[in-house]
Amino acid sequence: MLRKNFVEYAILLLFKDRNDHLFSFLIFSFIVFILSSVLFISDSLQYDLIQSIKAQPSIVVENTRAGRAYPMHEGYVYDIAQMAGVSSVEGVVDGYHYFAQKRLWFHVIGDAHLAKDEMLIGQGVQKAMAELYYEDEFHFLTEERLINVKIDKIAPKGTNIISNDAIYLNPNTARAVLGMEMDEYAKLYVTVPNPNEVGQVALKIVEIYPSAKATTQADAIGAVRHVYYYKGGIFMILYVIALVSFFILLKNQVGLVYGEKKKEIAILRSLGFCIKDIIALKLIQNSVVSVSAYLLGVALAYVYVFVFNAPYLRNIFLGSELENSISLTSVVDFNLLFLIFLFGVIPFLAFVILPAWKIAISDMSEAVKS
Amino acid sequence: MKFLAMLATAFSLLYLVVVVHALSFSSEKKVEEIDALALHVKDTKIALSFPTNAYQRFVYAP
Repeated sequence: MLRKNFVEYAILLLFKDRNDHLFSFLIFSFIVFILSSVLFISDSLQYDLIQSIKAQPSIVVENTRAGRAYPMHEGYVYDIAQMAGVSSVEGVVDGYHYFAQKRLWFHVIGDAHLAKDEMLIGQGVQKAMAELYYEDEFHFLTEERLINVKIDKIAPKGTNIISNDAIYLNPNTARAVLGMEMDEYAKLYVTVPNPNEVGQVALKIVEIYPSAKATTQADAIGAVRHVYYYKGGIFMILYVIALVSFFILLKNQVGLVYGEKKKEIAILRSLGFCIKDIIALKLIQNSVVSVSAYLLGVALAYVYVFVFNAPYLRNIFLGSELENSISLTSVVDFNLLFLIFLFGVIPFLAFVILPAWKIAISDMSEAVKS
Repeated sequence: MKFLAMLATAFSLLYLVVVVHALSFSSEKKVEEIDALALHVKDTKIALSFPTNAYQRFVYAP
């Protein structure tokens, strides 16, 4: 059992060597802060996207020709509707409109709930349009003509993750803007009431139309996870590199400092401190440093991501071309935080305690004489 | 011991602020808004101005 005086002495020594410990504390806090921030952003975006995918139909069919998106006609709708297990097929208009003045692509999506002359736009689109004084009305410049549509609805801020770059238009207006014919569709929404048949129906669709892509809801969720695991994975690799470099640095620094402190350890040993006490002394000091650095790093990351909405770092995930003022949903994965603790704090303690133990077991009489 | 107690108090206060923020964040409203939009437009994609690299290459930005 650790005595109160012993702990106090360890803290006193910690203050005595505060400059050495401050260096480790600051670097370790920073590493934990960066990694936790990236994981918080990634988890939050994943959560919102998966939330929106849950309303997705069983299968989304898209067509390609020569590797490019290509519209589908009524024949596709008829053929898929005839398949066993399919209850309905809905053709939708979807595509991208190039806004040349700002060098941006707006995502144009057909929404049958809107009237022909009205549109619902995301907040990023609104800002981009307003910069060029399109405040009440927007002119879509197409190959054939200019199409004027009133800007009368703005998507709420909470939906920015999916609506920031989007323009929702009546399907007929969207067709005119995208240059599609009346019987053409960019996507088909296929409803399969029995979830066990979804995979089979998706395979059948691809068999009939080999150039088509049939994405099930599970595939869409998998794709979102894959993108964020990939981006999070890159950071994980960078984190491992940073952490290993830090530990090498720490080991060198500790080795150097403990070399100077050899006499101090020798005096403690001659006063009656056993090896266990020396290790306990170093364990207390470095536990205070590493656990405080970890707690500070995680708390700062939370504040940076969920209070200030992660300026700069979120651009890695969302891009910086179109200003996206999303509010990140606070999602905290405790398993990952525990993993960071396990792979951060434990090696930290090991790298510090091992040199101390090495010195403590060496011959003390020489150290005292020097 | 006094230092450890002070450190523990400081971190408790910091984490109390974090927990209060996490509990006060109305994620329900946000989920409702996303659900309402996703019901109209079912195949949602993350809002990026350049959906693929091919689109980005199309724009010859200086």
